[in-house]
Amino acid sequence: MRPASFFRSALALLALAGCSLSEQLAGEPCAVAEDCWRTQECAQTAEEAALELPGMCLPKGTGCVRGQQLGCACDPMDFDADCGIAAAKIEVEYPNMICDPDRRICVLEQDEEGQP
Amino acid sequence: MSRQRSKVRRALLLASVLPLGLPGQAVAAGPGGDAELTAEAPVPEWNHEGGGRGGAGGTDPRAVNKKIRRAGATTIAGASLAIAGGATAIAGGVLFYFGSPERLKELKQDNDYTLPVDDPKRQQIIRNAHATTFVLAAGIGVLVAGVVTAAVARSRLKKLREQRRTSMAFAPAPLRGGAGLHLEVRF
Repeated sequence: MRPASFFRSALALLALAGCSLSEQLAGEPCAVAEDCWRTQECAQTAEEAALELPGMCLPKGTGCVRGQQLGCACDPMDFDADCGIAAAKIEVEYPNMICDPDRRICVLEQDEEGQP
Repeated sequence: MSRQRSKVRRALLLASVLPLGLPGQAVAAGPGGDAELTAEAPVPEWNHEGGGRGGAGGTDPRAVNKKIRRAGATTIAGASLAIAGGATAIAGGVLFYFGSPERLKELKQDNDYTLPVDDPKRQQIIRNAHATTFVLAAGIGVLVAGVVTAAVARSRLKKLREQRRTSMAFAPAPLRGGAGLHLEVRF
């Protein structure tokens, strides 16, 4: 094996080893930072933690998914960010949300009696 | 094997046991001899066979031997380094298996297609995958450094051995009633 091809193979193997789990863990439910890859954070809002709902592994610095996570900022006029769809995986039991027009954050949807 | 053959080939030549006159020096008169005749006696010039320079041949064989030993030690050190690097890289490969995406998939399947949160098994797979990068990088780095060191040292060792094979050494050997010339040739 020539040195150049050897180094290329080694770099490819290292690159593969370095990012192999980031795609696998992206969007997966989490509770602590150790549940995610080193380039990710466990994005869990205080509201989610209070309801013992899992957060999700997102790239570092994301914070939370706008308009798709409880306690995260939203826009009632934006279809993609009006809290109608949760970012959490379908396997995770996630409560229905609405976008609070005053506070502009996703809150629990309440029924007519005011119960969540 | 090569060293034994070299030893067999070594030839020791004792050039002369007669009083030795150095080039350009007049032979001293013996007791009772004629000093004038002695002074007039012709002093022969050295004739070097094959157009050589005479005297010590190029390099000191002891210095060459020292360099050969050093090059040999460097080759062994390089090879050891390469073996250590290879072993580390293999350990990295084992870690890669235990921290592979397939292991994560297996865990997901065992848990109704959802990764369990704050789970020690999940965190261990992630830790193994993290360590893989460093262990593999260190192993491959040390392996390459060892191979390069061993290759360079081996090439130098080969050259030095070739050089020693044709080396020649002269040494004066004082003897009773004269002097000798000790000639050592390796080929």
